[in-house]
Amino acid sequence: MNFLRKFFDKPTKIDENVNVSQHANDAPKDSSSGVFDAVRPENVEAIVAIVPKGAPEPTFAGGRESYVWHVYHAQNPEMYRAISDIVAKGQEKVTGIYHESECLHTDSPPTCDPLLDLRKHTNIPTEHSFYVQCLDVMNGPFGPGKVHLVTVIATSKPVCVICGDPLVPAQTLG
Amino acid sequence: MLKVGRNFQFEIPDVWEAARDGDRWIFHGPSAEELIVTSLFVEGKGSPSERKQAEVRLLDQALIAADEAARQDGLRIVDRLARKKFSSGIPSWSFVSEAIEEDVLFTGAVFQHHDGVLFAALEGPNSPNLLLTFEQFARSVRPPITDFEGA
Repeated sequence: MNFLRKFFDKPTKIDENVNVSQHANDAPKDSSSGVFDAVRPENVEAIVAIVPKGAPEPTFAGGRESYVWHVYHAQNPEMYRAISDIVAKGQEKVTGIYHESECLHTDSPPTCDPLLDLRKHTNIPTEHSFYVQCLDVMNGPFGPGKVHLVTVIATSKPVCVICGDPLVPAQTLG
Repeated sequence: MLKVGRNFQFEIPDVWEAARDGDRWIFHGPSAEELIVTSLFVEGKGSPSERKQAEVRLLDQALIAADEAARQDGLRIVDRLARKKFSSGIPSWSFVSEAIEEDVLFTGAVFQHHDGVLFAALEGPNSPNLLLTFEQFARSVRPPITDFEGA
């Protein structure tokens, strides 16, 4: 495997910054490292659940019995663990924001756009990235196939919604 | 295994082993294949024209990097870097090189979507299967299913 490693072992052209110096002041201060952090308590701004109208509010504080945890545990154990760590280490940074929604789409990926509504009801800065996962709660508390639970993790650092790892480094304008 | 990022998602056979090396994904296949995937995007504030210029530069740099990879010492170009349409339909460019000794194939591709680029390169024993493996990977590269970014 000489050629691949030989090529990537030194800086490549793709790693050069695309610099627009006059906007340096506006650039996110830690983007120049080119590496995004994984889901960690310090970079999670909010964990949001959007539930159908009339549904009971999910609980994040001590919420291990809530269906939010069950969904994550069943369908995404890695994210479940990541969020468990976040809650355990920094409860004050976890904001449960509930928004009544009629998100009952059954297609996958969902054609609904909960973020448009979400932004009206939160003060999460628009430059933050949102990663959305729309899950069927086939055996949730509202009956099989009746509920789509949309969970949104808003972080200042984009991460993989599947495993929580960073996937893409950044090039910055400034 | 499915990997999802801001601008791209891609799939790797489950039997492959995945590892991280800094910003990059490194995958090892059962037949001594090695695949390295790196992806970048433009971040920051600027006028639309400045952002567009930065995105163009990022793509240019990715294409230069791919061309340099294809032309490394000890390699012979089989298919020079050129636009190639994979099934996902996003803009992409690919190349194929082989070792002078003809025992190793080296192939790669650049993909562009929104404000990001993805560059992937695969090296392994010289056989048609290696190109099929890369073709399969390239067909899996597409905008992420969670593409709500910037909504």
